[in-house]
Amino acid sequence: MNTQLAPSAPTIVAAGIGKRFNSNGSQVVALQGLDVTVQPGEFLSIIGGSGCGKSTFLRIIAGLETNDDGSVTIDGVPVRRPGLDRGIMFQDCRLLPWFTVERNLAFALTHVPKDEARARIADVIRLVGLVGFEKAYPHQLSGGMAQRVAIARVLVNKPRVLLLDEPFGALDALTKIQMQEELLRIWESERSTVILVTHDIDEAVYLGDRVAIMSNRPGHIKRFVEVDLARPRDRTSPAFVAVRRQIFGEFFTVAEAQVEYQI
Amino acid sequence: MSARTTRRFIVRGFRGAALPLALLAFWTLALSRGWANRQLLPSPWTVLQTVRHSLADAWFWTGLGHSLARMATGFLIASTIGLLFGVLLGASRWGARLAGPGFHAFRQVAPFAWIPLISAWFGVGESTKVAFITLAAFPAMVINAIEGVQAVTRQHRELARVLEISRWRFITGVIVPTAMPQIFTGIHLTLVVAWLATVGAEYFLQIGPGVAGILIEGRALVRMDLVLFGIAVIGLVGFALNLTVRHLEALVLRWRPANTSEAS
Repeated sequence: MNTQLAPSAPTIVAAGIGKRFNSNGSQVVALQGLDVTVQPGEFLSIIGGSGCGKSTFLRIIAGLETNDDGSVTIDGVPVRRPGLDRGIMFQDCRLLPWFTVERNLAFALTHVPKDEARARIADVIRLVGLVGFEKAYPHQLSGGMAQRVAIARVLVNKPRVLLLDEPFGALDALTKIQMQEELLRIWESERSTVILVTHDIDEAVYLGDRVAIMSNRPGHIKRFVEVDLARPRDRTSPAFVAVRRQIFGEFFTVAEAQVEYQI
Repeated sequence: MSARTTRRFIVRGFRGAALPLALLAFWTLALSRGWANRQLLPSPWTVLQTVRHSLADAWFWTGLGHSLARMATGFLIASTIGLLFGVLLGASRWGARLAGPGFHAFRQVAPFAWIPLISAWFGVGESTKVAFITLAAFPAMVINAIEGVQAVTRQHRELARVLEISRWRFITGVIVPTAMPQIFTGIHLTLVVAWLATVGAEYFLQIGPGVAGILIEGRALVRMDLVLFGIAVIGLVGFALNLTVRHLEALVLRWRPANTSEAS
């Protein structure tokens, strides 16, 4: 078997990332001195409050924004522009409302011969559990189903890196849990390198091999928390809750003290 | 279909007739009470007789045919030029900078102001009328095409970038569908204006056969029944054009949720 042809999961190295914005004439430092190394096939969760620059960081890796300092490399190759090796999923599912599910997926597949495109589309539709909805228009789908299409659209290009920007932020709690299960199942079969940006502690711990905690002004990574728990994880187990509390304490020191009094 | 939904269906179909029926009642009342001069306001019955005579007259049908052909020509030219020009202005920053101000100044000029110039250039034939219709109708298409193209969101532009979509696929898969609802509004308005301009051109240029010929003859003979018939024909043609475009729109834009395509 020729392993070089198979899309293997790459290492992502971000070193000394800095990003500044101009807002109303004054300069805002969004990111400064941000360092992360993501191992091949690792699932990294990045958690932070709103406005900490976590989405900006993800968009830099995607090539949608440029960084002012530092560099991002994927297997040693610097990121300069968007590319199909990285699949990004946005919080809004961003489907094209005038296309059916099938045609939304076909739209994403540009550099592939027709027969293979058809096979790949059928594959991802099966993978995300949307068989029977190929001809549906986005407005006919529920929020969870629309996000499944968005996942399918990312996967159809077989990216080596998955960048997930609060993908389930707009879903209700039950659908969200269901989608997290689906995502894990897909990741376990595809084994790409994943970076998930979220503000949901439970989601970050449940999905990630590691959780990077970001603090803001300027955005940088404060610390990493290893989630050394076997999958499938039990959200109610003491070990899981302990990791959660550890992360919770990074954001709310007072609240943590209260929790400990209760126990 | 239950009796109740059938009844609702009938009510919905005919409630639009309420205003014309009320007007008809008032018209009859005004005549029977002697509020109006019969020379200036003929009775509904007289108008009905005129309708019957005119519909049996080949002159009427030739006129209508000429008017529709004229309008269709003007509309096709106006919408094609308007669409191309509008997409150019909407999609390219330099196009908008160079041609935008000139166009917006141009559309402030009332179409009738161009009549002397157009008739001097095109003579007194069919082409003058078509030129007038085109000139009057195309700005509506331009404005809507510009707005339609500019409705493409930053989110969809980003999507195209991350998916490495080619320029051509971006135009056909994103820009055109995004602009389509607005382009349809443009087609709608262009058609309305083209029909108004057709009647206007026929009335003011007074050459060749056309529906406005009914109005001209009615005025010359002081036959208001003929004038009323002419007005009704013009109104009905406009109504039919409207209906056609709306059905076409519903067909093309069926990807939209039902509540937005059913509005109006």
